[in-house]
Amino acid sequence: MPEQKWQFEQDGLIISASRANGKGRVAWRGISDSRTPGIFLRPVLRDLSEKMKGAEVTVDFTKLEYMNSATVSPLINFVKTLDGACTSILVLFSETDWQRTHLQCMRAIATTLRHVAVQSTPV
Amino acid sequence: MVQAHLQLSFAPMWPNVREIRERVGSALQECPAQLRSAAIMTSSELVENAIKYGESVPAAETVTFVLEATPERLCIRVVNGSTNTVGVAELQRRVQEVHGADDKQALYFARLEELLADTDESGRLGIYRVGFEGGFDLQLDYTNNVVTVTATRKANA
Repeated sequence: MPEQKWQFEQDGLIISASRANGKGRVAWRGISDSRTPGIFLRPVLRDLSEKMKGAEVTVDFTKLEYMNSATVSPLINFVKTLDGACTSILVLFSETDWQRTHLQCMRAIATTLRHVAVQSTPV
Repeated sequence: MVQAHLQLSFAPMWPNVREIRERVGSALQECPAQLRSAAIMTSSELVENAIKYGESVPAAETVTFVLEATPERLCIRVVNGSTNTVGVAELQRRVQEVHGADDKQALYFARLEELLADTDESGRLGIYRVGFEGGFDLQLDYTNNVVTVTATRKANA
């Protein structure tokens, strides 16, 4: 099957996704600081979870420049949903100061999930 | 660390959150990246709260933001009006939790677990984030329907 690609954008946040040969990638870029990010994110991420079903998925946050705390809930629940639907999930964070906390938190969350691994990548 | 002072008053409108992050980032350009990043996040979270839950009252018609940076200490203060005593009491409870916590990470993780357990749940994470990720101590004063939240940390912490 040829590669399928999707892109979602809102107010400085871009989520790009692709899937080919059983491997998926979901990359977040830009800034997520809307007042109620869940209104945009929940349906988008629900849709992407469906599209990634059965795949080995990489979720890449390394190009995310900033997110507010309201973004955290949809984000961690996206990873949790993928855990129930995909064969493996690799979550990538950068080693920037602000992402280090989220890397640490995601590592703690991953211990309660079955298929999630978390890695950092140099800036 | 350089000395910096920034004081801004603005209407409680959401685009001002992004503006505050940019202004704080510029004011602390010469600071170590970790401290600058913590200050930007803390300013943003506190201003978000002020805009979300604040209202115009005679003693605080707008939101006021103050940043004071010295070589020893960083102080961020956000002032807004509120007549919602229940909401302020809830904020006060969380501020007290952070203020008294030996393990701020545990507070943050506990809230994350709640958010993970109930997908419909959201919010009430920002104050814990300020304590854990930002490394700030917090205090709250509520007088004459004016909420003042002050976040402080050592510059070299």
